Amino acid sequence: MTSKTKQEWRDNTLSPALKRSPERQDEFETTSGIELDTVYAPEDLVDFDYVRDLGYPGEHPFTRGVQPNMYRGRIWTIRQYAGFGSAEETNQRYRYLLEQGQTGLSVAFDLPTQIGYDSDYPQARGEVGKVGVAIDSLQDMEVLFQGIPLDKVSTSMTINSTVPILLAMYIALGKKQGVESSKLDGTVQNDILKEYIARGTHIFPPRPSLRLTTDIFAYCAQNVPRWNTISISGYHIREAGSTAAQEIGFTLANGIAYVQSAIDAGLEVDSFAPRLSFFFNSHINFFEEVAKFRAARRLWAKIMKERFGAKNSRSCMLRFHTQTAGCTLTAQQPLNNIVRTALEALAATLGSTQSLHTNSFDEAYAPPSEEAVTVAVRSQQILAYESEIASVVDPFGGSYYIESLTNKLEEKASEYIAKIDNLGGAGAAIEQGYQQREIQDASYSYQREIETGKRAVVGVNKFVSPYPKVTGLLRVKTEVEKRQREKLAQLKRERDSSKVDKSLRSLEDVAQGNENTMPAFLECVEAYATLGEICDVLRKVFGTQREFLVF
Amino acid sequence: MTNKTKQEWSENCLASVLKRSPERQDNFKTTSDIELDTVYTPEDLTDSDYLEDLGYPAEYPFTRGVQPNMYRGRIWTMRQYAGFGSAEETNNRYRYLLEEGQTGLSVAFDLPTQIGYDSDHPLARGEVGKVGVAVDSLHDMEIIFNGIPLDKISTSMTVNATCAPILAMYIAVAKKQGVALDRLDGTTQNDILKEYIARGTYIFPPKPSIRLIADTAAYCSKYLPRWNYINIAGYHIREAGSTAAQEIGFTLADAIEYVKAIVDTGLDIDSFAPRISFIFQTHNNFFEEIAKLRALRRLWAKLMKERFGANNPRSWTFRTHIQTGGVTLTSQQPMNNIVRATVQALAAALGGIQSLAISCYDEGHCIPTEESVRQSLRLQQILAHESGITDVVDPLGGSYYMEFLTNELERMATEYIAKIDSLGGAAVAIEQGYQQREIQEASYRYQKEIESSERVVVGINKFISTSPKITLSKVGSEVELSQKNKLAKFKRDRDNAKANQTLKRLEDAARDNENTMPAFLECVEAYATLGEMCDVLRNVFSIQREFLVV
Repeated sequence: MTSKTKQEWRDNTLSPALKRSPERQDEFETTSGIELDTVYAPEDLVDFDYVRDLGYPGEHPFTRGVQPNMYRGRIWTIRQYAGFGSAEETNQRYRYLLEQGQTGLSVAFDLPTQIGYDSDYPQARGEVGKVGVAIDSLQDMEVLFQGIPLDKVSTSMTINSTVPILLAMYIALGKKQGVESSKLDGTVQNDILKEYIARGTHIFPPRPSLRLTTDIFAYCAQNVPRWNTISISGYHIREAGSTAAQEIGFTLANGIAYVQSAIDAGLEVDSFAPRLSFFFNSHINFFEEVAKFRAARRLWAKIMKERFGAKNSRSCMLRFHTQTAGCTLTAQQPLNNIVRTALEALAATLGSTQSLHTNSFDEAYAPPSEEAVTVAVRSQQILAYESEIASVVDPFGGSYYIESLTNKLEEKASEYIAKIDNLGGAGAAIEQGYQQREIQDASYSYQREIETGKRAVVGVNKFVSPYPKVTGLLRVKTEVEKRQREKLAQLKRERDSSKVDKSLRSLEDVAQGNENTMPAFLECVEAYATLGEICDVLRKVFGTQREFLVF
Repeated sequence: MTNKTKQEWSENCLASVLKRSPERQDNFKTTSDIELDTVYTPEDLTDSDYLEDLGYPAEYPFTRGVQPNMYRGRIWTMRQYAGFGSAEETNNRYRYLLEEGQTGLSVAFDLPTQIGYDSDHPLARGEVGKVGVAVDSLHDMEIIFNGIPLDKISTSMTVNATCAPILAMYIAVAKKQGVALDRLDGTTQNDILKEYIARGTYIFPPKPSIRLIADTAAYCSKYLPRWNYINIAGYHIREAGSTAAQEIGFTLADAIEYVKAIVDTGLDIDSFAPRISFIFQTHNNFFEEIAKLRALRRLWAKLMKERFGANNPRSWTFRTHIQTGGVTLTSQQPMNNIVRATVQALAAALGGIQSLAISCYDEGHCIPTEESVRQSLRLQQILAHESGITDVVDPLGGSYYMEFLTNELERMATEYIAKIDSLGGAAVAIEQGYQQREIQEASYRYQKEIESSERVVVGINKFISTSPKITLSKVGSEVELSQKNKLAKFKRDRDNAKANQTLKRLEDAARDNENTMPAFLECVEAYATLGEMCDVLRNVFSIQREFLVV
């Protein structure tokens, strides 16, 4: 073995070159403030132990992936987040996407649905069908999945405060289609803590919210065993401006809070932990993102095993969905977004994601057009079938740079978790505004870097040029709101109101007590009680939560 | 250090999963037929020695790159291949590209220019200005670079059989602009062997062709020290259907042939080797392409040091331009090509290249429009300035898979070189049709895989859908006419006696063994046309028909 240290190389080869010509920047850093050396070499990994730090795929600590052969067996699920306007329109989009080779569904709900108001509530005005599909009752859900057999598809639903209602509707729909709940496959987001931190569609205070979360864990463990009961989300934390290290740290801290609250409710860790899933962002810094996914897997495995004493190796597996970063897209020169999204998607797959949404190039303007969403799906298919990145598991494994970054990100994320532990856990830290403040600071310095031109955004602060107008933009029609209200009025006239009232009363009783709320939700939705009516009951029992003020 | 072998894992963990659910394919292979294991670990690199196999950047064997800090110092040169129609149109396109942030020029010539016919020659009919710009004389060259100071820009010219007269024109333009020759920065392709193998724009037989190359090498070493007088090309070999391993092997075998020929003229290896440069392709297979570039650097360093005894470290460094794979683009769903180009450009950048051109998304249909070529430039700029991949040198170094692939490709390419050596070198092997046959077979296999849908091409044999129409560019047919008129007028106006005299001088130089470059320079400065010069050479050197491959 010949030997020469990096220092010798720096002195003899690098320094003379630097003397001749300076570098582009004074320093090179990742978004998480990790300072980057010029090159990484074996000496950057002196304490490295292959089996301990990486291990083999499908084995603890899962750094290299949760399945032993990953995409050689099956390509990640291609799952485009979609939903707009009415249930009918959204149903058509789903059928189109499935025809184009998409392999899973992902439902976007409109804001009123997310915060528990029917389309005819005054608070809903102007928002019905805007950012997602409007769902008022089981009736809309039936239309949404018309012609899509629920035992043949996996469905992800981005829903948090109102999750038990939408999940109950999905289960009820399965029953109507003759699909047993044990055959249902999918995910609900059900991650309320990050709503307080970053996303904002919370209704109730943390404590009753967490109780609803835990109710779903318990109910699904018994009745919907293949359902991912939560998708603990770093995505929105990152979109709000966090760094990569914060994204892991805050998200896993939220994960810890959910596990703790389920254990406190008397559940055994291995009974629910295998169905926990995650949702991350894939941002533009290519290597940091790949390292982030690997660090998150290793850290979660350690937490579950060491902190919570999980015995089942499935409890230790961090499985995640990825969406490319919406906040990296630009309205200027929209085709540039195809490039960004392709890079971010590649980072996600090299990070061994389980499923992936690629943003469409026109999303800075409107909900994606069919043309734009097709390019987004094709991007994934090109990665999956042409680039041959799916032939080998964790292809970056062993790279001096990637392993160093993975170590550093894990270290930084662990520090955030320790800090949150100190503050009393994720819930308490949120109440004190800790995460919100950290994200604000990070977001502020990122934006400043863009404004000062220190950070280049092509087409925005550098290489600015005129660009052709994007055509074929999708516009949500204003009559959606009116139609939705009419439908609702008709439903209310025709349904059995006494049955509705009875089911709502029994929900109120259950909510006031301690038993699992899920059966009561199911009864309500099957009686065609509306989402708003159900949430009104809960608002009465649980109270509502204003925003946590951050100074 | 805990201990567990891949074999144990394979038996305990992998096997049980494979029993439950089969994999998507029976086996996984790269285009070079390297069979891929499920995962790579330290066991796959038991013989590796960091300093010997990788070393630090800018140190032998240069696996990690030729500059110590690579793109931390300067981003690769963004050099879109461009040229079409008349010299005026091409000049406009170049100015546009420079305004949009391009950092180097790359000239595409039309076919008549590449095979030595003026625009008014019957053989040029229908081809004038089609695949590149038409250059008949120094006059056209002056227009192409009008308003572009040659000491401020580096220029690459894709020209081979007619390289010497075109280079002479560039030199003459520089002199007119008052730019000293030692300030000229750029590249001429000047790689005739791959024309016989794959690309087809040769004129003369191998021996006089190689002599012209040696002439430019000697001339440039003396007068144009910053000029890369040859750009040995794997690109066209790959486009013709070779595998990645063949692309390395055949290209370096060509390079060996050139180096031998130049050494045989009496030049010292270290006087000309530092200015040898390369052009390669990046194809779809992301990891194989990165590994290819790393293997190329290491193998070239070893060849130059060990085989040719070069002493100057600059003679050992492999510097390359990359063009993303034109052959991978589809005319169906053209926006998909942006995704392909992104992946291929990323592979190039992670492979530590010196300059880059993106094949534009509309190239399945036409010469790129301003819009599509700008898109290609933006793609490069996003990689360079947003993705952070330019912050660390050789970021994949140490990856078990990457190092395994690099080793395998180097091994396979070495075997091709040994085979070509045993046939008597690249030129002899070409005469026997060896490389052509190997490429044909590889290409046939690849196409068969596509036709049988064993290999997926999105939008072609899978995921087919209608795609919106894109705006296309068209080269006007009036280019040919105006070029002919220009030529006729220009022949009337020049000093014909002087032109004839210089052509006579060229004939003498070509017949004797003196360096032809000064004679070319005299010809172009007397406004002799490209066709006239090539006629002289055709007369002296004779022409080469295609080598038949059976």
